[in-house]
Amino acid sequence: MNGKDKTLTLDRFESLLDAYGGELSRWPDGLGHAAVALIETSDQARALYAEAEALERLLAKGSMPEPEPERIALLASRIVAAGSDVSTKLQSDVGAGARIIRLPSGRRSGAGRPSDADLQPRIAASLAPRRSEAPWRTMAALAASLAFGVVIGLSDLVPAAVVNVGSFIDAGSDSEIVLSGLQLDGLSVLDEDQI
Amino acid sequence: MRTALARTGDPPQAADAQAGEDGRLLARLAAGDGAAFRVVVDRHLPLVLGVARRVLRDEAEAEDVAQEAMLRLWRNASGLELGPGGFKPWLRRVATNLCIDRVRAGRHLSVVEDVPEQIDPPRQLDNLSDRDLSQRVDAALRALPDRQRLALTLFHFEGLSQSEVGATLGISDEAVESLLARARRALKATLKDEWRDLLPGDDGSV
Repeated sequence: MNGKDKTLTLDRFESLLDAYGGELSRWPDGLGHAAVALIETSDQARALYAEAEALERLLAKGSMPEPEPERIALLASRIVAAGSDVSTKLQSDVGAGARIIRLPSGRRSGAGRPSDADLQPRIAASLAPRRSEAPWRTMAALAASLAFGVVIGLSDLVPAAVVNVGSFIDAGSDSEIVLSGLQLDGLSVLDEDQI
Repeated sequence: MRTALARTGDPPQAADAQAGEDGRLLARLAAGDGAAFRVVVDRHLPLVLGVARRVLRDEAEAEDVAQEAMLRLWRNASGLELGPGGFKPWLRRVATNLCIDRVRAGRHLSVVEDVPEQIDPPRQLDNLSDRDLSQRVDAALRALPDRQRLALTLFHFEGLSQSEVGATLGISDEAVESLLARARRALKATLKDEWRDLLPGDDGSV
């Protein structure tokens, strides 16, 4: 149905004016055309429309004044600064092919109240691959392990700790395997310290 | 009598050019390009801040919302698909939703509660400066119930359609009409002396 074909009662016209105001083009379903037809033929409709227009003009005066340009510029700088860690993370993620995006920390308001923005970086950090942290550490550990194996192979002096690890592994219990893991971790730390 | 039925919009060519430019900026944002973010912030911050200021009517809260909206754009750039309107519709929607979240969470209520329900006794309009009048209208808008103020702000000040307001607030078209009507009736009652003085013919100035 074309909006031009609709007719309005005065009561319905007043209700629509209350809801949608005096800018008839914004009325839904083409009802503005029906409103124009009513305004052209009814003194009461014209009076109601004049009231609605007056309220429109009044509301226009209630628009908040624009903020000072300096204030907008300051806010823009603040936002760009807050986004610097987003930039770093995005560049890192693009390089690593990752999709985890860390949220920035440091909101001006709402301090002291845990929020998603506070928690998500920690969650993301715990999930994110650590390959970019210090690749030289992995390389160094491998080199040290290789060197350690060569020394062991050439020496008759096998450390007691390694013997103990072997015996625990042979025993096969869960607790002993945990212990063997601890021993091996200790050796790894030792290797890194010696490098 | 002049009736406000005609309406104009942006030329389609200008909208296409803007969407293309925003698409290129979006790709740069997804790659972590800080210079592109600066361009987007400079270009769209006034819009986002304006939405937040009009809905929340509080400078500090509005600035926080504007910041969060802009940062969300950057964080989500890699998965974002822009429509023909470019960044603007997305930013407007995010800013509006952030404002609604704040209103619902009660973070904005303290500001509204500071406004007295009864405005000062009315004075003659010709004794009021524009600033006085603006403050009275602003106080009347703040004193509206949250949902009425949100609906009126989105429809009247932000230019959203009835269905867009409904989609944003998660309510039916009929509910939108009801909220808008109650909001305007409340404003007409609160500001009756002011708007009556703006009727044509009273002083010949309108």
